[in-house]
Amino acid sequence: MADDAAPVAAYVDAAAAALGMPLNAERRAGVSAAMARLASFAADVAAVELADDIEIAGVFVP
Amino acid sequence: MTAAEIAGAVRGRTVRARSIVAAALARIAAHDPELNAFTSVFAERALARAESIDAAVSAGEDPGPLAGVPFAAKNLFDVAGVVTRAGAKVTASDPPAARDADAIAALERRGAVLVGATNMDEFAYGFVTENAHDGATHNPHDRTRIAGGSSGGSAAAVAAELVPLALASDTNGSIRVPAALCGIFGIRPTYGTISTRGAYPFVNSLDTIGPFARTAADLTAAYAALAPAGAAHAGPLTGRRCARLGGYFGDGLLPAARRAVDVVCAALETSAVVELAHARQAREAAFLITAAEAGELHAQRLRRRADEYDPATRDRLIAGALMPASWYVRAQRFRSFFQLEIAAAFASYDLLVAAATPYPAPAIGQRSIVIDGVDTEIRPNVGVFTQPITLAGVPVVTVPIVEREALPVGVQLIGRPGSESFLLALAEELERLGVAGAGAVPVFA
Repeated sequence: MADDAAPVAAYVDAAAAALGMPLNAERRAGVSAAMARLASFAADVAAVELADDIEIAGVFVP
Repeated sequence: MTAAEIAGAVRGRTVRARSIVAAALARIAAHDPELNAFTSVFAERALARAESIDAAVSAGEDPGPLAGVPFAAKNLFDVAGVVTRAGAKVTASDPPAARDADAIAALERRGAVLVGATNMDEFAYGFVTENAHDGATHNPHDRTRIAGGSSGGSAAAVAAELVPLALASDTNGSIRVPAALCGIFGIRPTYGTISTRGAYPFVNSLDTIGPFARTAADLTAAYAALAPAGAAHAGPLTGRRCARLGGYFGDGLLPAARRAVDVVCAALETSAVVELAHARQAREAAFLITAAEAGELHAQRLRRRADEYDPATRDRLIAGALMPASWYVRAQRFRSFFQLEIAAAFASYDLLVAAATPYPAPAIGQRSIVIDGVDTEIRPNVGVFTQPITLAGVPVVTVPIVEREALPVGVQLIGRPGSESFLLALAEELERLGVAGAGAVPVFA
């Protein structure tokens, strides 16, 4: 678990530094937990094969 | 009284709008301390507006189909002269709104009267209405439980009969979840149908505006007032091929929620089941789009004023502001893919049915719940059945199912884009059959 979390926490640290987002220790833990959930969801969505011509709706009309 | 009864009486000169509004204000003053549904009450504005309606009636004019009907609005809607809170402290120093939100103006043009603004999750980013700044809103059916969110204050105000109508917003389920947990009707319209101008933005790709009501007829009247001319009266669809959503939507819910879907499907005389093969990923894509768009919206403020945010919201917004663009773009591309998947389901069926939430209202402060032997975190998962539908942008009416002496649950009636009139007609039919309906709330102490 710790190994899974480490890259996400490292990413949060790097992104926060690069984008000028201050993080104290408590906030860093909370943001890393939220980012880990997003990473898990992003991996699941990325696993769905999408044809190259599936594009973002420019003007979304359901 | 229902909105229809009030409007009929005011237009028929059997009661004055002022006395209706004064009574609503008195109910709020007497009972809201037990619920914490309201964050502001606009007594002076409401009474002045009611008097203008009475004057119009006296002059022989028709104030409209919602004449004298008091309503509340989630505190993310602009109210002229008032700072738009959106459930936040960081907005408190913003300038007051110059004019009313379009949705408030639309209801008032038809004679309704805004009486107050209601509690919500900060920036609508939650399903519980346990707001760090304004406190939790209590469920009128059991004051120890949540009202759901993020439009919990509006839902509780309607469920407790403080007002017959309330305005809310639904991005990932913020109308459908509290409607279900408070046992009332709510509609999330087709994405893009109702103007969001003057509603504090959350996730531009997913935000919608809609009303709550205690009867399906009142919900229909409120929707008709909000929708563009013609949209609410497009005519009911012919035929009625209904199916319940299975697979993802058939797992991970408590028996009460499952029974509610059974009851609705039995009334609709359907045993058909259809699966959306990528419902789980649809929920996840909505989650990612939400994080990215809301995170970006707040990034600048978070750099300087993060301490003023609700801790329940702050870290998720920061994560969204830092997340890679590729995750967001992929989620948006997936959305186009999922749009085709749900369209394929609607090629065979006119209506899809699913539970609105996996369970009735949890206790205030409760962190997890056991489902099928698995301890499940509540806050991120209350909307597990509403979020996938959000991604498709299709309309949903949530109908309340109240078992005797049990907490309410809700069922989503999901239709094709633009099929609101069909869904509202179905909700009215289910209410007429005694299948759906707002339950009575326990008497106030």
